[in-house]
Amino acid sequence: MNLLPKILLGLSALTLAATGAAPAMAEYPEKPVTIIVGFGAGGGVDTVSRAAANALGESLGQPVTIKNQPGAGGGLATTALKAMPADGYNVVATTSTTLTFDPHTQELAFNVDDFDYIAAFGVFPEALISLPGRGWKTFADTLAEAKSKGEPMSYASTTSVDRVVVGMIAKQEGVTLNPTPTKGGAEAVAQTLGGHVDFAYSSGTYYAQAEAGNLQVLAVFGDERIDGFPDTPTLQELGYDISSMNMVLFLIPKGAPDEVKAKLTEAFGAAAKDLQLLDTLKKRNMGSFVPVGEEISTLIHKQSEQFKAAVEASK
Amino acid sequence: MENILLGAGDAFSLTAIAAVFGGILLGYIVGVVPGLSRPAALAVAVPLTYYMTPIAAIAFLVGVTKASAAGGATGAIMLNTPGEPSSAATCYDGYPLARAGKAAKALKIALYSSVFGDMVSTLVLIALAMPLASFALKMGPVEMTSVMIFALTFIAALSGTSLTKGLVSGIFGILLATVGLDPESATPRLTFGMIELFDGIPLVSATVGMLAFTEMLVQAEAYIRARKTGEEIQKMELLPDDNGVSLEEVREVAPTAVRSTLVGIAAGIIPGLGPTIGAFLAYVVAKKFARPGDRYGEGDIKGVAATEAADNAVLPASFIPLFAIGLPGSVSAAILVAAFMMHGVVPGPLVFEQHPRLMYGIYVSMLVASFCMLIVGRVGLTFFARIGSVPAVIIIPMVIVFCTLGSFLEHHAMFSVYAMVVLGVVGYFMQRYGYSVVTFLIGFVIGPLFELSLRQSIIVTNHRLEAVLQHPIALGFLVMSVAAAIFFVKPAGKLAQAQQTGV
Repeated sequence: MNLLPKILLGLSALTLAATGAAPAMAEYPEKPVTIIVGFGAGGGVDTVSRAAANALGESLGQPVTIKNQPGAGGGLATTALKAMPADGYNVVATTSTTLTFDPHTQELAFNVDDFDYIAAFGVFPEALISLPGRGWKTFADTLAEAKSKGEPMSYASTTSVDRVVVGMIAKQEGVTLNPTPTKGGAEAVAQTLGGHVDFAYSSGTYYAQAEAGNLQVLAVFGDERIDGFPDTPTLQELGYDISSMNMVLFLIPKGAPDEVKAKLTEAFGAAAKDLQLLDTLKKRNMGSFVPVGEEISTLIHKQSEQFKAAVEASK
Repeated sequence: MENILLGAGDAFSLTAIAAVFGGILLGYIVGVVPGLSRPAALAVAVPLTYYMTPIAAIAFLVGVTKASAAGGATGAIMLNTPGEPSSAATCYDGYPLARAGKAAKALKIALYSSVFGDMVSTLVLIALAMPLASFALKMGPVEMTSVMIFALTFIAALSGTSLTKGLVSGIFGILLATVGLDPESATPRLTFGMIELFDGIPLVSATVGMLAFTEMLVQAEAYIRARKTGEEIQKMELLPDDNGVSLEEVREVAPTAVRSTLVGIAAGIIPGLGPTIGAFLAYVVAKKFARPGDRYGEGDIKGVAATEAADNAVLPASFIPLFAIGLPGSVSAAILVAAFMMHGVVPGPLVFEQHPRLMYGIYVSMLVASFCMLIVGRVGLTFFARIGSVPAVIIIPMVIVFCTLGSFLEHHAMFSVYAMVVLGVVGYFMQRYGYSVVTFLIGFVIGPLFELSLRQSIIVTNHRLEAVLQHPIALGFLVMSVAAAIFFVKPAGKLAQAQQTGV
C-alpha cells in the first residue's frame, strides 16, 4: 500500500481546515487578554484593574487575567510592554504619571509616543494636608505664613511629581519649601500627624484621617475639588497654572490593528459604565472620571506637555 | 460589648475558621520551605482574598504572615537555611542542636516560643493599641535615626570573631542597598541604566540568594568532597530519648522568651524596623544576659527561643498603628490595608466606630490564628524533624528549585532570579573567606532605612545638629547607644566568654 497519497490527502485536509478557520482566527480576541498591573496586588491601580476585569471579559468574550509586575513606579511593566507584540493581548495598567511625567525627569527606555492609550479609570484624590492646629484653611495661608516668618518649611513628599509641583509654587512665591522624602503615603501622613513636618503631599491615604477631623486638606492637585471637602480649592483656583491629574491608565504598544484598538476601546467603554467599577472608584475616593479612546489619548499627550513645561520651570 | 460578641461569633464562623486555617497552612509551608518567602506568599495570597468575606480575607492574610514567621525556624534548624530572613539567627543554635540529634527538641522550642511571642504580642495589640499608637506617631525622622544607631550598635556586637570582617560584610550590605533611585532626588544610583534596579536589588533575591542558595552551594560542595574521599556522609538521626521539652527546660527558657517577646513588641511598634532586625536584637540581648554554662552558638535552646519569640512578637505589634489610627507601620500591615480597602473598609482613626463588629472579629480571629499555628506547627514538626535523614541529593536540588520560584514570584521577572543566583555565588565566596552573609543582610536591610531617616532628619532640622536637643526620645536612644558601645567594648570576663562562643 502506498502511503504517499494518504499523506497528501491528509495534508490537503489540514490546509482546508486551516484556511476554513482563518477568518475566525483573525477575529480579535481569540485567546485570553492579560492586564499587566505595574504595581503590587492590593494597591489602587490593582484594585481598579481587577474591578474592571469582569466587565471587560464579558464584552470581549474572552477571560481577562490580571498579572502584577510591580517596579519603578509602573516603569518596569511599561518598559516590558514596549517590547511586546502590538496585538492587543497585553494591556498595561499603571498610573498616568508613569507616562506623562517620569520620562521628563528620568532616562527611561520609553516615552509617551510609544503607546496607544485605551482608557483611564478614576483620578487619585491628590492633595496637600496639614494638622488642623496650624490654623491654615487653604494652602494660601500656609504660603502666607512661610512668607511672613521668612523661615524654610519642610513637607513630606512621596513622588517626584509633588516635588516638581510644590517646587514650582515655592519658586513663584519666593519661599523655601523643603521636600522630605518618604516611603509612601502612610509615612507622609504619619509624619504630619506626629508634627514632624509642616505639611505633606498625599495621594489618598489622608482621606480617612481628614474625614475624622485629624487633618486639614489645604489644596487639591487635580482639576476638580474632591468629594467630601468642598471648601478645599484646587491649585488652579489658588492661581497656579498647574494641574496634576493622576489616573489609572490602560495602554497597549503602538501599532495595533485598528479593529483591535476599536474592540478594546469598546470593551473599556462598556466597563466604564459597570457598577462594580464605579463602586470601587467611589470607595477609593477616586471620583467618576472615566475617559476612553480619543478623549484619553488627547488628555495624556496634553498632560505630558504640561509636565514637561513644569519640570523646565522648576529647574 | 454586643459588637465584641457579634465579632467573636463571626470569627468562629466556618468560613472564617477555614480562612485562618488555610492562611496558617499556606504561611507555614512558605515559612518552612527555604526560597519561598513571606513577600512572595503575600503576592500570591492577596488576589485570592478578593473573593472572600472581609473577616475571612484579613484572617487569611494574618494567618499567612504569622505562620510564615513561625515556620521559618524549620529550615534554620534542619538545613542551616532559614525559611525567612527573620529566622537567620535561629541557625546559630538550632542547627547545632539538630546535628546533635535534638532536632525535634529544637523545633518544639521554636514553635512554643513563636506561639508565646505571638500570643502575648496580640494581647498587647488588643489591650494597648491606642496609647502605643500615639507613641509610634512620636517616632519622627530624628527619633528613627537614633533608634537605628542604637540597633546598629547592638548588632555590631554580634559581628563575630573578627570585627574587621564583620564591618566589611555589613558595609558591603549597605553599599548594595544604595542601588536604586536616590530617595531625595530620584536620580538612579548604580543602576547601570537597568530599569529593574530602579527600586534597588530585589529584597527577596538578596535574602534568598545569600541565605538559602549560598548554603546549598556550601552543602553541595561538602557532599561532593565527601563522595570523592569516600568518607561516610553524616546523617542526622533523632536521639530517641532527648527530643521532648521537659518542665525544667521550660523554666530555663522562660525568662529568655519573655525578654525576647518584649524586644519584639518594641521593635514592632517602631515603624519600619521589622522582624529581621527585631529577632537579631533579641538574640544579642539574650547573649548579653548569658550566664556561665550557657552555650550560645553551639546549640543552646535559649538561643532558638530568643529569636523565634521575638520574630513572632514583632508582627502583631507592627499592626498597632494600623488598628489604632489606620496607618500601616510595616510592610505586612500595608498588605492588610490593601485587603481592607478591597472590601470597602477604609482603615482610619474611626474604623472601630464605623466597623466595630468586623474589627473585634479580626481581633478574635488573630487569637484563633495563634491556636491554629500551634496545632499545624505541632503536627508538622513530627514530619519535618525527619528531614535530616533525607539524602542531600534530594534536598539540595529541591531547595534550589524553590529559590528560583520564590525569587520569580514577587515581581514576575527573570531579573530577580538572575540577581538571586549572582548574590548566592557572591555569598558562597564571602562565606568561604569568613565574611558573614548574615551581617551582610543586616546591612542590606537596615541601610536604606538608616539613609532615609538620616536624610529626612537633616531636612526637618534644617541642617542644625543642635536640634537633636529638642527631641528627648532621640536623645535617650543616643545616650543608650553610647552606654551600650562602652559596655560591649569592655571585655568583661563573662562577656568575653559569651563572645568567644559567638558566631
